[in-house]
Amino acid sequence: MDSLTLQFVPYGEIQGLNSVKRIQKLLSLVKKDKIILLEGRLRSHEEAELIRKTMEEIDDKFKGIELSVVNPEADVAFFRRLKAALVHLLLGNRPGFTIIGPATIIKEIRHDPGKIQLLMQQSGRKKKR
Amino acid sequence: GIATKIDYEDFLKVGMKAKEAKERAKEATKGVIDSIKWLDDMDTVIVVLDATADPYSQVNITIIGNLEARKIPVLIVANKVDLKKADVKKVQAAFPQYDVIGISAKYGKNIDDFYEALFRMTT
Repeated sequence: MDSLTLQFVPYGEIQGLNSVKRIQKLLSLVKKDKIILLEGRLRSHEEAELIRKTMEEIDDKFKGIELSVVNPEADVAFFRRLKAALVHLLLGNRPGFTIIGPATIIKEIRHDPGKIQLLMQQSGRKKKR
Repeated sequence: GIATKIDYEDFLKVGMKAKEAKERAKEATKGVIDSIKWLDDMDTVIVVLDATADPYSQVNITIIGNLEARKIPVLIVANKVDLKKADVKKVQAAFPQYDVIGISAKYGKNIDDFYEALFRMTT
């Protein structure tokens, strides 16, 4: 039976790392076929760097990642946005969470209002030669 | 454009041979790396979506959020409004915080509105 590993990474585990080390840590987990549930989110330049590093490491086995940030404070009216700003001030990059998984396992992360769906790749796919 | 995954097998599906498909995939990864390098120099980003298809499956919303965090204005363009299945309101509902313009690139519909929206964002 195929198994699925979901690994929760508290923000504290990456907080003390510099950007390079953060990306290295997350990417190494994904390359072990783990789906990461990261508390909070990376900084915007770190997200871009994660994608850049992912592209550099793509090969026959590693096809890249699926990445989705879930932020419950997004798309809100003014006063709730104000509250969100205060939350951000207190929690920094920790509100919400980030899902990062190998593209060979996750076909798509569908993120629409009200739900998040992880669509998985079909296992045992026949390869054309 | 910016993607988070590239699979050379997708190029096999359109008839490429394995060696050519792998080279094409390699080019695609370099294209994404170059796009990321250019992000800091962008004044505006135009995201073109197919108005007849599910908007959520066409673009990684995290990447759009990344642009927002960098204070780069984003214009969502819903293409193919000439088709009956086109639903610009669905695209707007998926991206309520962004300007959405429906166009038909094939027939030139609403292209003036697109340019006006683009100029408003960049001036």
